[in-house]
Amino acid sequence: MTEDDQLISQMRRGALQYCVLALLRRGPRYGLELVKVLSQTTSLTASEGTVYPLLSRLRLLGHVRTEWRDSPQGAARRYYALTDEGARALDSFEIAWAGFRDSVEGILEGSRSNDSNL
Amino acid sequence: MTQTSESIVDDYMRRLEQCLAGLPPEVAKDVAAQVGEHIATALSAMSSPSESDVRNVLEEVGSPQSIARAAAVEFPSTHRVSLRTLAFWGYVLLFGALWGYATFGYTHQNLDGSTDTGMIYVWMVMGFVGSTLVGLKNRRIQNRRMRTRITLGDGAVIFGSLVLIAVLPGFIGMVKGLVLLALFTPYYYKTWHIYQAT
Repeated sequence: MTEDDQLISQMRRGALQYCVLALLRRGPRYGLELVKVLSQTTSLTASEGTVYPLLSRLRLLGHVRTEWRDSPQGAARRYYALTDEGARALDSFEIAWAGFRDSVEGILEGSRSNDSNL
Repeated sequence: MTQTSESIVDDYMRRLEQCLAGLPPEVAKDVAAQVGEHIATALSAMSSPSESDVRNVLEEVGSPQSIARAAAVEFPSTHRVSLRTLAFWGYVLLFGALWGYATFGYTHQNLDGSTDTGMIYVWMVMGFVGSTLVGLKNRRIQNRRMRTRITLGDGAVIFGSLVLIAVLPGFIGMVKGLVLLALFTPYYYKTWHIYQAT
């Protein structure tokens, strides 16, 4: 892997963590549901299974907690829910992300247009 | 679910468990449990999943190695040398020594007709360093059941090699070396994924 690939995969990994928290903001989801939404709406995951180590760590970190709930199909499912700490981490990421995105985009767009004063 | 489908999932889970063996047991258990539930939930949504349905589900989940690699990134090891490196050099040195001893023996004919026996020390040092690395590698396997199995497997292959060296007649060193390689290569091939992620 080149240094560029490594940097990009680190950025992706950093963002993925908060996307997981954001997907839990409106309420708990079970693993398959969460992972499907994540892999269908973003290009952040390599494969579905690679999200679970991240979920394990988020739980150890206290940003996510799990609970078992009965499903319509009968078998109980493990649901992932945002903790207060996770919600705070997500809020501060959101602020940081907005600033980050605007600065990077400003530079990138300025670098392409001729009448920019950058 | 048919018997074949079930055994495909079982194989997958066994391989996943093996690939996660270098991680802390509670992490390995947690990751494997979640992936297992994911697969079970995905399959329970289908009325009668066929073999290819099962394979598709597993393909979307990803290879056990890729999950283990993701786990190793989330829970980085505190060791400076990776398990993969330890396993590689341990086996190369240990089996290199056994292979070299089997193939070339330890006597060297000099030009003036006298013989040197110094090569025995080369094989001994290689074997010693190699088995130390193999031992360190096995200590790093955190799943106790798998550690026992691999230690027994390593021991059996080493013991088998020594027996073969002793039993096969001395004049066919090359053949001895090839027999040892034929013994060792499938063993390494069957176990190498255990060391890849961590």
